[in-house]
Amino acid sequence: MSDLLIAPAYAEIAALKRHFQLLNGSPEALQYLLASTPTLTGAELQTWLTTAANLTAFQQLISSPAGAAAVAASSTAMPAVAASSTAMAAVAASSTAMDAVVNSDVARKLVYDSNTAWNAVVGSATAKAALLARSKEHSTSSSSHIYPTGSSADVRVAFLQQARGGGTSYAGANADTYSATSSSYIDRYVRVTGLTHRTIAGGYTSYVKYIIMQ
Amino acid sequence: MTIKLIVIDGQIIGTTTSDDPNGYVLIDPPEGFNNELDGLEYDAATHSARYNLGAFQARCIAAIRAEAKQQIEALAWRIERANEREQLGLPGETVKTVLLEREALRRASNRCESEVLAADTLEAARAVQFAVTTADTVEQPL
Repeated sequence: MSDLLIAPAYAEIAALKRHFQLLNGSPEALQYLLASTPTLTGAELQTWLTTAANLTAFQQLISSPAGAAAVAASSTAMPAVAASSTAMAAVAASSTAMDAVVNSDVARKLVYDSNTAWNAVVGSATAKAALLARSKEHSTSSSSHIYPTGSSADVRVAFLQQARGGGTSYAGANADTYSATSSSYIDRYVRVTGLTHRTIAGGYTSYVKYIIMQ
Repeated sequence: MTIKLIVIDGQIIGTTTSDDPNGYVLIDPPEGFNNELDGLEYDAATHSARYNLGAFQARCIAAIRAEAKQQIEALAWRIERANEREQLGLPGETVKTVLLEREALRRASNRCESEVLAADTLEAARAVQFAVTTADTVEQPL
């Protein structure tokens, strides 16, 4: 008789569920986020998370790499997460969840476009560390504003840190909005569409760390 | 969003916007601020910023020297080319011609530094821009 025709024992089902939870966090939260019809809204998720058990389930889900990656990559679930302050507070507090967000094109753009999501990120040391760990560094000795690699006029950029190598470093969206005379990196953590930077004069260097959010 | 100055350990180390999320100590820039940080001092007693002409002049001079150094170093390849052509007896600009350009850069640097030191206002010091003028050129000895 084929194994496929043998009904699983309760113990086997329980074992499978444990394995699923280990890999994907909470199946209940995953089901709620990914399979809700019609698509979940931020307000609905926010209300759902007011129940302690649901919040715990959500935290379990985004604390597992596979679960967090599934949510961050979902163009239906992630907008609700980005719009919910409770969900984003949980995401920002989890390095696993933030790694998934930083690695997802969908999630990065949504976080950039949502004040709720962005405020949660910049309010969390864990979230800022996750951004910084995946940031790019760019330097220039140009005294005219230039785009760091990957940035252009309409590209959303998370501007994380700034430093100078002599003189003054200027950064902004083709503007001198953010300047620094510190040789050590200083924190920025601001959203700048079309980030550029420059140095005050030839012979000096400007440094920025940033992430393209698309 | 207005521009604010960032103060860390009693030093003004940059600018940001009024909604900066990093918890820095922020103060208003002084009147007439044009994104120029050189010469700005933090006054702890009044918790405000003010310009210091001497410090500004020192930073202007440092910038002039950095620019002159960069331009002098950028002539190295032309000296090498002229030297090799002279040794081969080929036509082209001479080593002396390029060295005279270098000397003009040094004289321009010295002149600009003097002009900065002679300035009695920030605006006058800021107006000094490093450039070689006819006054800096060196006549080639016969």
